[in-house]
Amino acid sequence: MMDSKDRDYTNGEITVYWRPAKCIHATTCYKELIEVFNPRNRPWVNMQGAPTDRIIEVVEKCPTQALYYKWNKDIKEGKHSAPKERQEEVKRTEVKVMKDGPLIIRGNFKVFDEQGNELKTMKLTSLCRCGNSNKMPFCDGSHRKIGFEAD
Amino acid sequence: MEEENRDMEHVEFKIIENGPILVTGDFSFVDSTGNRRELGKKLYICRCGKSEAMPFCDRSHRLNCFNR
Repeated sequence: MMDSKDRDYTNGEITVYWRPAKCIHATTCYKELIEVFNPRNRPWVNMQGAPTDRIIEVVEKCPTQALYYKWNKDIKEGKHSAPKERQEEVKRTEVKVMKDGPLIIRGNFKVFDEQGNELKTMKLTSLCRCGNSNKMPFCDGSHRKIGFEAD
Repeated sequence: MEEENRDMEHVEFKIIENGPILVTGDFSFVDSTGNRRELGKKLYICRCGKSEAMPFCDRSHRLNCFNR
C-alpha cells in the first residue's frame, strides 16, 4: 500500500524505496552504510555514497522491508510493485539486541503493558531500550537523537 | 506459517512499571555483537538506558528515578 510519506531515491541503476510506516528503527541501514543512509541528512538517502551492489546488500538486511529496491530497467518494464512480505521460517521466537538501539523481537510472542493489558503487535516489533521513546514500550528511533550507546 | 506458530510456545514480554522488560518463555537470544546465546527462560532487559550490565537490568532504574 502506498503512503504519502513514502519516498524513492535512485542512482540511475536502481531505485531504493523507503516506507517510514514500516520502519521499526532497527538501526541496521545507517550502522552498515552511513555514507548512504544518514538520518541526519536531508534527503537522508544519498545514492552516490556507495556502489550499487553495496547498497543492495544493506537494503536486503532491512528487517521489515521498510527499505527495498528495484532495478530501474525492471521499473521501465512496469515491474514496480512493492515486494512480497517475507515468509521467513521462524522456528523459535528470537530476541535480538541491537547495539545502541532497541530490542527486536520476531516470532510468536505477546507484549503486556504495566497494567497487564496485552498490546497489539505484529510478528516483528522493536522495544525501547534507551528510556526515551515517546511510543513506550515501543521504539520510535529516539535512541539516535539522544546518542544512546549500549551493548 | 499460521499452523507453525500455533505449535510454537508464546514468549511473553511484560513491561514492568518504571522498570525493565521481563521476558519469559522459550526464546533464542542474539546479543549486540550477533552472537547467539542460551540464557534460560527468563530475562530482565534494561529499559531505562542506564544499566551497567547492558542489555540486562541491574536495577539502575531505581537510582535514576526512571518513570515510564
